[in-house]
Amino acid sequence: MTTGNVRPLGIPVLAALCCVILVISVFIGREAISPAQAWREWRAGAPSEEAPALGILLNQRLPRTLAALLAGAGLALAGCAFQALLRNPLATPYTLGVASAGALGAWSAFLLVDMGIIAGVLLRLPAVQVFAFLFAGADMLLVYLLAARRSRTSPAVLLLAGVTLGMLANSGIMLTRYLARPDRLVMMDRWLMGGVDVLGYKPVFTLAVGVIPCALILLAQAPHFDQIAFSTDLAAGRGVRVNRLQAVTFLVGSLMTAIIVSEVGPIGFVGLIVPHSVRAVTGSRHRLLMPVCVLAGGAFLCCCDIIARRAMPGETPIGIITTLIGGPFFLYLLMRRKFTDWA
Amino acid sequence: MRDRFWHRVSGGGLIAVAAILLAGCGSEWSGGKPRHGIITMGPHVTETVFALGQGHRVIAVGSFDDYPPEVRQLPKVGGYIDPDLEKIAMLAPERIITGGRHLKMSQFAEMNNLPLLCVLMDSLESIDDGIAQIGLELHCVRAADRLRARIQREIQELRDAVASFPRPKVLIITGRQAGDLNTLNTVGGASFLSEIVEIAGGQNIFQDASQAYFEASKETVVLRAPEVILEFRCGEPMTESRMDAYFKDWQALPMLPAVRTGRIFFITESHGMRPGPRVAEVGWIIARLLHSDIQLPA
Repeated sequence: MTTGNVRPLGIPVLAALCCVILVISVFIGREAISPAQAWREWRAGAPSEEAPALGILLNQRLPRTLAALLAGAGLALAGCAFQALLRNPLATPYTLGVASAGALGAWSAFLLVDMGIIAGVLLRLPAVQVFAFLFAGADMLLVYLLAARRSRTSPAVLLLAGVTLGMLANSGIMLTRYLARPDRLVMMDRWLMGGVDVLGYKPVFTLAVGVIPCALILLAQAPHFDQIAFSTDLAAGRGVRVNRLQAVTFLVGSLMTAIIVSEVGPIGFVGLIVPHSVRAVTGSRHRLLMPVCVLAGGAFLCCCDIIARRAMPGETPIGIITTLIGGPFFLYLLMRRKFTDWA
Repeated sequence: MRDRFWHRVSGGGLIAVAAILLAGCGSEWSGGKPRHGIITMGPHVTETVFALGQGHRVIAVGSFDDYPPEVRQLPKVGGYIDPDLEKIAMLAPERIITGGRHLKMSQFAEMNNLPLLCVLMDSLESIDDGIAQIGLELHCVRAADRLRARIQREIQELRDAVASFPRPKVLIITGRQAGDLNTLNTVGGASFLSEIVEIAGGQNIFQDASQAYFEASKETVVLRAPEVILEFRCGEPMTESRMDAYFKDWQALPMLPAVRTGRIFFITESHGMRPGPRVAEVGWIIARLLHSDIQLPA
């Protein structure tokens, strides 16, 4: 296991880089908005309808930047935690079926709204979002109940139960797709590609409430992940309550993923490539790896969102960008560095 | 005694095997029936065939075809992604007409030596061409010419009726998720809907876009300041409360003139996005929404 190559200065540098990306992200978009014009509108105190530049900066670009930051940070951290929990380099926040179940929920909501069975808005939230969260949460509980039937939660059982439930959800998606009206398929497919182009601060608030506490809980477990990375028995011998750690990681990581998926859709690749890329720089000590993952995940998704705004005449789904950018970059890293940690 | 028993069993077995083999050939077997009638797949294609006075020849239609009302009584043979090839084979049509190209149907028609006409109708020009093609295929060229002339006349009447009105800037929404404005699907100038809105006396704010269908940037929407929002929710069961909820979603963009003046309209007619013979009717629906005091045709 690689433990060296630790660079404590990395966190402040990355935090500063995150701030720079955040500022850049607010000033780059589909339309050329002059900061001077926005400033004039701010000084004039004009109502929102007479201040389009300021409205775009404050109600569109800043919320979507914050949403990208939070979603990216949460997905990268959950990916890192799941890779440690399952001791599997291929683990991602979606490995345990949360994204598939969330997608099934979203698609069911599309179908039920179309059929007039449910309203488009439930509990003041879009029905699609509510259903996505409920289904993802149900998947999380089912996987946990299945795995917790044994005296010690087995990562292998967690993995198998999660993958199986994910496959079941995928067949449910195919069924809803088959039953849907052809003209609605575009919207349903679009949801699967993810997007952080939110309007206003309500989605940001939901993400913040979901991601920040969960991230803090996971970050607090970082020293224990270093222990179970060697062996669960060794960790137990050193006083780590392995069962509790596994349950907390799984439930908190899945809950955070469910909230992110329900808000911005299943954005792929972030939870896989960011932890591995960061690990290649910082080494495998989770005390450093996890906070850096938070910053790098947020920065990565913000960068992808900037590209998504400019790549095509309209909006480009961010899930396409994360894979197009992240895939080749990850392959490059794989070729350049030795991933001895998982060998 | 035992031999007779085994003879019967083997005889029964042979019959069962023959039946299974026959059933297995289902997709290519027409039961020796003489081929007759037409199968139309695609709501606009079915509408066109009926508008040409050839409805009596239609023996089955696609799953989403619903106009004219008598179509609902006809057998359904699946949709674009799931054509029921066995049913089509059993119905033994003399020809099939589909809306757009369809690989599976093309292979099926080739295997069964069936005439297949794929008609692409996604603009005013291609609607005109499509009607002419169908007329030629069904040997009713005169009826097709009359229908084409009627549509052109109706469209000209619409153009004349809106000529004196100011042309409001229109945001056309073809799809979005209920409850938020995160994804706004819209159309560019190359689309059929944009043509109709222009004819109905509006200006699509994305007329200059090179793509026919795409996801709009909300920044661009804000800067282009649409005076009217037309949201197509064709065939969706629309209640007062649902419409209120959709209307309320737009309050997230209060700076839009359309939101400030409340000029947000939902087009729920099932043929609202259908490029067929009722295209001028859709144009009139839009024209009435854009210009409330327009003179309706006699």
